[in-house]
Amino acid sequence: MIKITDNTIEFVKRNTSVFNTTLANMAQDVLFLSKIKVPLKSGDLQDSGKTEELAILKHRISYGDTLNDPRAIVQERGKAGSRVFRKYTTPDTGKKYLEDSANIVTSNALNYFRQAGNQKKLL
Amino acid sequence: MNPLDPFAKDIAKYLANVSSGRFTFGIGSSSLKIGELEKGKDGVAIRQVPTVPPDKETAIEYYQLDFWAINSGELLGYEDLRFIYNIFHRNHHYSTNNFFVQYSECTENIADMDRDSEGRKVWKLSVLFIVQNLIS
Repeated sequence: MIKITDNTIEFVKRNTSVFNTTLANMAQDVLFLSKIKVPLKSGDLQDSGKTEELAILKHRISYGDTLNDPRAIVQERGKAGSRVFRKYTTPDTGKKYLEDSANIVTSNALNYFRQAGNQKKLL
Repeated sequence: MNPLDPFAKDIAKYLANVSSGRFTFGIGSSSLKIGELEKGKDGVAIRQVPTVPPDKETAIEYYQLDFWAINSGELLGYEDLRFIYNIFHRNHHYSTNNFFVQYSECTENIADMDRDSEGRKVWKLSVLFIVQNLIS
C-alpha cells in the first residue's frame, strides 16, 4: 500500500514566504543602489527614498514627500514638461536613477531567490 | 568590547585587523563604513540584511551582511570584495570582539551593480554568518 500525503498547502505557504523575502531583499537593494545614483550630491531627494511592504508579494520603493512629488518625477524622467535636462551639475548623472537600479537588481533575481530559499532551509 | 555593538561593526573591526592595512575602520576617513558610504569617498559599505530569527534551543544567530564596494578605479572595488571573499568564504571557528563565528560562507558570487551617480564602479558580495554571542 502506498500512502500519499498532500502537502500542497504547506508548499504554497513556504513558496510565498520565500518569494516575499526575495522581493523585500530586492527592494532594499534597489533603494541602496538608487540612493547612490540620485543625481544630486546631497539634499532632501536622496534622503526621502524608502521601501514599504504594502501587502504580501507587493513592495514599493518611492522617492519624495508624496508619491507624486514633482522633484522625484522630474529627476527620474529627466525632463520637466517639454524641457529636457541635458547638463547635470554632477558628472555622469542622468535620468532613471530608480528604473536603472531596479533593472540591475532584477537581472540578479535568481540569486536573490536562491538566497531567500537557503535562508528558509535554516528554519 | 561593547556587547551593544551591532554585528556588522564587529565584522568591520575584524576585517580591519586581519587585512594588514588594506581596510581601515573607525573615526575619520576609514575605508569600511556601516550602512552607507560618505558621498564622494571610495570604500566598502557593510549593510546588515534581515535574516531568520535565532535558534530557540542553541541560541545560534544568523546574520547576512552585504558588502558594497564603491570605487573610482574600475577593478579596485572587485579586488576589495575578492579579498573579503577569501577571508570569509567557508571559514569557521573564529572570534570577533563579541561573537564566535561557527561558520561563514558567501551566498553568491561578486555581483556587478553598475555605477553610482559619480561614475564610480559598484560591486556587491553577500556573506552569511552563523554565530554565537559571547556575552549572552
